[in-house]
Amino acid sequence: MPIKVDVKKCIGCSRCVRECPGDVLCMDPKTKRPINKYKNDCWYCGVCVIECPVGAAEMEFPILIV
Amino acid sequence: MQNTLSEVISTDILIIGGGTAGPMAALKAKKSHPDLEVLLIDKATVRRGGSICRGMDAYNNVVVPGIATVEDYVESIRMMTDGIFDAKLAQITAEHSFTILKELETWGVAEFPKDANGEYLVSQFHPKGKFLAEMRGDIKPKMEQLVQEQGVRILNRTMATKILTNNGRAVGATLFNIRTGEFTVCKAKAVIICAGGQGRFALPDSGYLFGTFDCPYNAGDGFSLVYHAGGELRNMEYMSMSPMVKDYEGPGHSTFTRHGAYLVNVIGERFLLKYSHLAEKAPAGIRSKAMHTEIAEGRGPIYYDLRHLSPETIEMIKEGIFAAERPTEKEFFELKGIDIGQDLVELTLCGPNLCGGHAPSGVVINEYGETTVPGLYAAGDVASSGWGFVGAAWVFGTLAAEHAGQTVGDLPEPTVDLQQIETEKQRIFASFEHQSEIEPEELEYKIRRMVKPSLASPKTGPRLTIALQYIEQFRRDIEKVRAQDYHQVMKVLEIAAIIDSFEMSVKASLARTESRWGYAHYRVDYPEQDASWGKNFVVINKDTVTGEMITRKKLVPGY
Repeated sequence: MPIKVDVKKCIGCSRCVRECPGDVLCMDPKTKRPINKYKNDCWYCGVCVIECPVGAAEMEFPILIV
Repeated sequence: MQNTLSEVISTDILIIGGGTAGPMAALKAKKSHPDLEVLLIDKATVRRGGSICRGMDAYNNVVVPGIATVEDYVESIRMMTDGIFDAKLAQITAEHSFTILKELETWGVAEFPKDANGEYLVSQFHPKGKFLAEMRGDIKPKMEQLVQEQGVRILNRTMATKILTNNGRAVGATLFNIRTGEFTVCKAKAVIICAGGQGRFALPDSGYLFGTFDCPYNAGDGFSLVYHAGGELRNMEYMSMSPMVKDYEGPGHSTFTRHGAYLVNVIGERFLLKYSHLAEKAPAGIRSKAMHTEIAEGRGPIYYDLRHLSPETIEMIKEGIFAAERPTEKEFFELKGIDIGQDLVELTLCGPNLCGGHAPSGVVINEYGETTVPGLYAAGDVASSGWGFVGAAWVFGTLAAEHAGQTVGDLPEPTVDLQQIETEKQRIFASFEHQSEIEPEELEYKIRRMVKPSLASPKTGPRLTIALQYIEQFRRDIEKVRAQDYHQVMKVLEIAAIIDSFEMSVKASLARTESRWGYAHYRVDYPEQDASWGKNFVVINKDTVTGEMITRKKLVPGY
């Protein structure tokens, strides 16, 4: 699971979706919050965490890695 | 047919890939020729795309005056490539490297830490001489900002799928937006490919397809773009397999060993000394052979041992990797309960992958970054600059842009071939029409699980020949894979590039009927080095008549 979002902190700005190099994320049309659309394409680079302006994004490693 | 062109755009210089070389090329094209239109595209974004999306902890090949010399640099690359390199390109990389450092520093793109005496922190990683300068900073967003300020047009989430040619000259490319599916024709007077190497090659030992050392979004697209445009590639038989932190496969080796880490086997022996007096600084193929042998003979696993290093050095390593390059590696070690200063760090051999930065492989370029296709340039990991690392990406990004800038001014608006465009459009979207339920990921797994067994040394002629049969099957399979959205369309195109890279490596490996570079190319059926091969590349290109992938021997240029 590449991104785990703290929905209480997330402001729905979609910067993580905009910048994810692997095009892993998209915005959930209902909740307006980011979700993992292609979780198996994640390189765990951590760009989502760095780009998040409010510290709502956490990265989770795929189970094969840790 | 005209109305099938959804959009046509024109530019003077098209730069494909917004990673490391691309933004530098865009910047230099505008700085040297402000009147030219420059378009920079990336499959991801220019802000975060490419191998160093999060930065990099070192400028690993810079000749700092007073610390190192151009001659020692060229000699180092000669040792690392065993002479199978274009010495002129290594010389040019070295000569321009310090100017680039000063530019990056002046522009505020990167910081280069200095010691108490005001000297750059430079350490040794190459066989001869100190060329590796510590580097810090979030490089990519700063480069993107500069590129924007210079008036470069940027198209993010845009993949180039084919270089358009007219009478053998590059005249643009077909572009595809991986999120909206928009198909665009870009006419350009010159095209610079900075699309990275083949980072998505062998299935990693972790079994996770995207758990690769190098950026997995660099799927050899650049190699395929040049190849199908009629360009040449070389050293594709060189299988880059470096020691990496087990499972994470993140960068470690250069950072750990340049600060004095040892490689030890399970009985605590610093085993590299048995294989080379250069120990941890031995050429990569020798290290790879040593590790394979230790494991094969029952002395694995292999570890990094940093326990003898001072707390200050450990801090420097942690700061470099965790803050500048791969911050998630910190979390990985924490989750694993590994403290690199206290515990042994288990290794794995990554790859094989193909790269112009970490190996001698890639597209043939000359001293201006020109490929063998007129109007088409290459820089960065896609180009065979001879272990060019980040330095050659910046240097040849610069030289290609400046040369392209000088030459395009007099050229008329290019004419594109509508038949080429229509055929390519059909290729891109064909996977939407396929009726099977085979997903791109399934075929990707099928292909990539065969890379290491086929191409990791020891290689054998029969096994390589069988691999060609597998590749024929993969080419039939890809005609069945079904894409359900544009992201998957992109993946099918990437898989096509992975198959191309596979065929290039197998054919080049068959062609080089000798063994060289330790385990980067060890043929059981030709176990000795052959002096006649010592002066030759294996060059690959597409036969213009048959469309077949062909190899030939080509003399290494004299230094």
